[in-house]
Amino acid sequence: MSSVELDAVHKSYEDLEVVRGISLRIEPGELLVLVGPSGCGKSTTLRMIAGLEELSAGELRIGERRMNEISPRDRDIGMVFQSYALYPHMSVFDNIAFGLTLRKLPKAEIQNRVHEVARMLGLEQLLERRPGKLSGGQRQRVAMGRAIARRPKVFLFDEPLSNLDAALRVQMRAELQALHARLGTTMIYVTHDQVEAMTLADRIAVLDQGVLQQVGPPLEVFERPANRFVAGFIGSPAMNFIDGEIGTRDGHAVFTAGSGLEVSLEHLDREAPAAGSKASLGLRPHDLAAGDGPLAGQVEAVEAMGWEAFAHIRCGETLLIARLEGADAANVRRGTELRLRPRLGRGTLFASDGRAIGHCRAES
Amino acid sequence: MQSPELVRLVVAILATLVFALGSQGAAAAEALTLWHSYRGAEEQALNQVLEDFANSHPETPVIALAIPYEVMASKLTTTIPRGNGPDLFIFAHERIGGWAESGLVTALDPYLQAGELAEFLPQTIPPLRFKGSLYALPLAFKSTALFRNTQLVPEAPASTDELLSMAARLSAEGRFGLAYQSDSFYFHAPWFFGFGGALFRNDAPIEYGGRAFTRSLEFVAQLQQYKVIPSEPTGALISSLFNQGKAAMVVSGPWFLGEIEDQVEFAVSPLPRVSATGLPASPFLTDEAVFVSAFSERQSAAVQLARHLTGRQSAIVRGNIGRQIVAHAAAWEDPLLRDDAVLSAFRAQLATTVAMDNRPAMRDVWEPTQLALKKILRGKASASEAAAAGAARHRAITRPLPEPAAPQLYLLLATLAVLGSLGLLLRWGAEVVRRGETASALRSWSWAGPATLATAILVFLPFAVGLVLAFFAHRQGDWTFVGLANFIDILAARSYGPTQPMSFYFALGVTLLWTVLNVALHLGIGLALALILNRATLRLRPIYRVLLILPWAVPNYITALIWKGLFHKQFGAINGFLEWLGLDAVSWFSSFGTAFFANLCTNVWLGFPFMMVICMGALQSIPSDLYEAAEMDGAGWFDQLRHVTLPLLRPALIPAVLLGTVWTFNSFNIVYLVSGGEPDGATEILISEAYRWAFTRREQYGYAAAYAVLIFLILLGWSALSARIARHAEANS
Amino acid sequence: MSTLKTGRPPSLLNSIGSHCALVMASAAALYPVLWVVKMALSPGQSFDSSPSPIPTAISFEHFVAVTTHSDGAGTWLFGHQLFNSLLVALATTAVGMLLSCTAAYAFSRQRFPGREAGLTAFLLTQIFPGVVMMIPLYLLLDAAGLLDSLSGLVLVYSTTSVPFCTWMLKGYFDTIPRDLEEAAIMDGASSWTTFWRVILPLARPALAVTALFSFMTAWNEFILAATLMNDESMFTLPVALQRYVGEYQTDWGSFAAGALLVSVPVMALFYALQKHLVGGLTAGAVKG
Repeated sequence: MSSVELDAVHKSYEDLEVVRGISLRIEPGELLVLVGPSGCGKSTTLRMIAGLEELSAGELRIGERRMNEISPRDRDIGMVFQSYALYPHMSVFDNIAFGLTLRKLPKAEIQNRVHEVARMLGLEQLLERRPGKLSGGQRQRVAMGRAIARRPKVFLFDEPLSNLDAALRVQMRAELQALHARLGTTMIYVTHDQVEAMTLADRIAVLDQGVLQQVGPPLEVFERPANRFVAGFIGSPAMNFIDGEIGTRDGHAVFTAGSGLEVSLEHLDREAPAAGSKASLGLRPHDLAAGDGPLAGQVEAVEAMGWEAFAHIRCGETLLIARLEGADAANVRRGTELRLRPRLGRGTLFASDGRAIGHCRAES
Repeated sequence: MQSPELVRLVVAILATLVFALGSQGAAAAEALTLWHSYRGAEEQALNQVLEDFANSHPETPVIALAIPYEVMASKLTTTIPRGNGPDLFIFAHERIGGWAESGLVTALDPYLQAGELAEFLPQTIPPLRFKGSLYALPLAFKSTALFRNTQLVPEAPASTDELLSMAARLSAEGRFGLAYQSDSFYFHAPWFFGFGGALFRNDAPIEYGGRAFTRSLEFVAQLQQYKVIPSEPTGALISSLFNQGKAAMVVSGPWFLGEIEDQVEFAVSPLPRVSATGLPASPFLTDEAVFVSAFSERQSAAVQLARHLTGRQSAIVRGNIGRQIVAHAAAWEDPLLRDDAVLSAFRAQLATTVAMDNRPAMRDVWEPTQLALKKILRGKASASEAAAAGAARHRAITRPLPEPAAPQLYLLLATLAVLGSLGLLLRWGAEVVRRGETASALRSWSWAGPATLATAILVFLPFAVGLVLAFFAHRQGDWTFVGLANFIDILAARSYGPTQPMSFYFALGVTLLWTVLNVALHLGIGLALALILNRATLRLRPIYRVLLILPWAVPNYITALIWKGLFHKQFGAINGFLEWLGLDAVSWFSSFGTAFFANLCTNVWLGFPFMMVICMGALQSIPSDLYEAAEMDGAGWFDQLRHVTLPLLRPALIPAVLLGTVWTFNSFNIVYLVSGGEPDGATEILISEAYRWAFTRREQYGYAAAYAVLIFLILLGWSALSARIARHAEANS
Repeated sequence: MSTLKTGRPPSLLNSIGSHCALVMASAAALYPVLWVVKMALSPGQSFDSSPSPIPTAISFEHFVAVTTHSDGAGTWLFGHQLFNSLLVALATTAVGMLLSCTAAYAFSRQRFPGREAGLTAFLLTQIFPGVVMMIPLYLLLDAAGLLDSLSGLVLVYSTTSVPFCTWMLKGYFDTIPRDLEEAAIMDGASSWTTFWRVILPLARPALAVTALFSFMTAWNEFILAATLMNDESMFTLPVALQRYVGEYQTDWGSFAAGALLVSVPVMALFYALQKHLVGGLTAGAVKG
């Protein structure tokens, strides 16, 4: 267990700056998920921690020790690759034991550790097989086993589940959580899948264009996104944004939009901006409900999921997605008109530069 | 394997190498080295004679080394001046002039006692003299004589008329009255001298325009017309014909004795008189002599050994066991030699021989005369036309030495170039240091360095030296700086017009045709076979694949010689096949088209498997769903080939085709060994032409190097161009 | 070997056509070889020009003559030459592979100053006309005292095969996923260990093919060997073989027998490695 600390870390290739000054501290034993769209610099950040890329500027510390110039193999880090990167020419046993043999551990110790890991991951029956003869999930476990067997101070995961089918992904997610609980090792996990991020993380770090957008526990990031990017990225389906401006009604600040929408901002956790300033309101699909409201439009598509459904509604310029439940979900049809009303006291207000101004949180 | 095991492996390899190296250094320093190229009975006789010497001279041990005759001369000229050569060697006398001029052999006169030379048959001594000094002692002599199958020809013909009528009577389909290597001046010489020819009436070894040469060619034309002699007469064919009783008479030398099988009854007699002139048909006389190296540190011991080898006792052994026609006069008094009918016949022939001239210029005679003789034998040229062609070729290969050029300007340019590249290198080094990449560069170069260094020393350095040679002219070991003269001579097509064989432009045209056709056929055949082999439902695939890869596994010089055999006019299987089909046999190497075709067949045969394998690999990497998609789109077989297979094969095929082009362009082996440039050098490609200038035609290395530079520049241009095209195509797709 | 086209069986006509083409091509590929076999097995120097590849009489005299070939002093030349050939070819393969594997690894995996220049230079060697290099090489080896020695041959052969081998191996290394290497680094492997225990085992098909080429270069070469070697007992087999059909002697029977003896090991290697040949030459992706 070690902390990992990034201090104003930069990475550029030739003229292209991929990571632009990330500062972040990962506490010992914490599971931090680096999440962001592809090309946001999350994998590069992870690879810098691993030592597979050099830092262009800034400092990396693991367990309070500067690591910039330390070679990967002396950093005591285990890594699980997206492609698993299992050695095709070695058996499962040898794959797991490879790092141990290189560290010149005694034979008996290697045996013990490999078997222990295999037991932990349910690989005991597969030790003699070659990776080519394993299923995707099994390969994934071997890749983890290989990292675990060395008992490193830090684990790095580079999109480890993205090559698995949906059901397996759910299962492996659970196993990973259990593993983290059991080992208690610091883990840094990179993914582009916000569901994975939400379900696994102690804390989430959202990256975009090489810049850290927000760090925090999953729910906080979900509930209180720091900006429009984070708000749009975290949560599925994505948040709806309605552009409008601030007005007043009865002395209270309200958000108004062209279609006659008026949302009270009395539950806003910050002071509302001055009336007349431009803003946009972010509403999650479940913050919209069918019913008599100012938002109306034609249903363009319906994602029916059983007792709930997501309806895509064209409202003038904007496309809104609403989560419908029960009878509403059963009755919605493509091509029909639907009226929507925002749930009372929900939503996030964003300034025109994308920064979050405040969050409405009416506890109901 | 663990690293220590690798270390052990490397050590083992190195140890083996060192051992292999060390084991040759162990030869006793005291011993005299003798080089010879004897094999079989002659070698046995030599060993016996050397044993006698060891008994009588225990203080002088001798190491005898058999060197193949073909490479002996070139080895002598390269090793002796560097002190690696032998103390003595046995060789024919004809190169004495060159050796004496370049100081390889020592004059023996100071070591000889008065009258010592009188022990030898008088005709054998003059050939060993050059500019008044004697350079060797004669062991034996060789000349051609007439062999006859005594069942077919009981009495030897006394005149050429008699020979002609006898031969005509004995000739029929597949049978020949007379067989000899009629395309070689060595075997033709008896007729030439018989018609009154002589050597070196002026600077050229023979007068190509002279009456004697023309008339001798006419005589051969006659033999050819009456179908008395086989066309394409190789040594193997002649011995095979004689052994099967299909050749009644053969003109050949003592070496032919070893080829005759036991069941053949034969006799040897001197060659007949030329009826038209009354002069005897006089063959060349070649002395086999023992030479003492000018670089030997033990010359007197060497002379002692030479004296022993040539002496009477030894001569009897060599004659009796080695079947040599020995030069020692008194040895012939021994009944073992005197009563031997065959040996005596050669001994009798000696009276009417003409000694091979030992001047270097003598060697210029072979190529032009062979050209003329081949023209006659093909029956497509008159004697005077053939003689004129010979004269022209003689002028071409004895091109005058270019004027020496002043090297200052070139030296200046070279110095600037060297300094310039050094400067660039330093700047680059400084740049690396500045960017702080020194450590990573050093790390990477510790991996790539050994291979790069080895390549630099053993590939780039020799090539660079070779390039420099292009600015020099080489004659007899002397190098003269001539500047660009070699290039100018080549590009100006001085000796032959641009449209004639042997000119640079003609050879370039042939080379281009050769390369394009070869690569196209390799690719076409390889791709077609790969497509068929790639069909999912094909049975027996492994068997086909093994058979089709087979040509690749045969070493290509063997392939070349096999195909040369297959295309042989008389016993080649291809003509056999044509005859079986009821067609006429084709003389493959007598016209450009057929000779080129023969080369092409050979090279296509050996080269298509490579392309086939490349295509197979590339085909396998095309995902099958593309074909399924194409099929869903309604694409037929041909559309799939055009729009799916070929475009996707391209990335794999482009490098293979580029490499194939370069290899074919430089595939000297095939042309040199199959057609050998026949007819008249027309099928020669640039690289084989360069080879001829370098290693025959008086070793004009500089001229050859200039050819090589031009080849290199052409290929460089082509590579740059094709790389650009490939990049362009890639960018567009 | 995977096949590509859809599994639908082709029409009978189509299939007959394919087999006809393949049989004809195979016959053309095989025929010259059979002809050599016939020459080698026919007694004496008696050839018949019939196109049949079946010998009319069989005798092993040429094989006996070639394999028992000795010089006057009783040295068993064939044995020496076979040993020389084997030693030279194996050592060339070992040295050549060591040089080209390490170089190819660096060129494929590392970005370093001089990399492009090095690669271009290696490619350039392929267009050098060999003719001009022979004399300078001779002088060079003479200066190094390596004339008439097998080590000299090994040095020259392994070096001349290095550029091509390096390019071929580099092409194959390029297809090995970088992830594997990084995994090894994370496992604590040094670059040598990564190379030796991860990259090389994965490049086996390419290694096999490259080794085959190296071996063939050395096993088949005769022009240089004939120039650099003086002592007949130091010859390699091709030099000895080529002399059977030299300018001054033509013994086609022995040549054919010798040619078969020389070709058989290469053919055997080809046969053994043929499944690698396709993949090794055109680097396919390695699947985990």
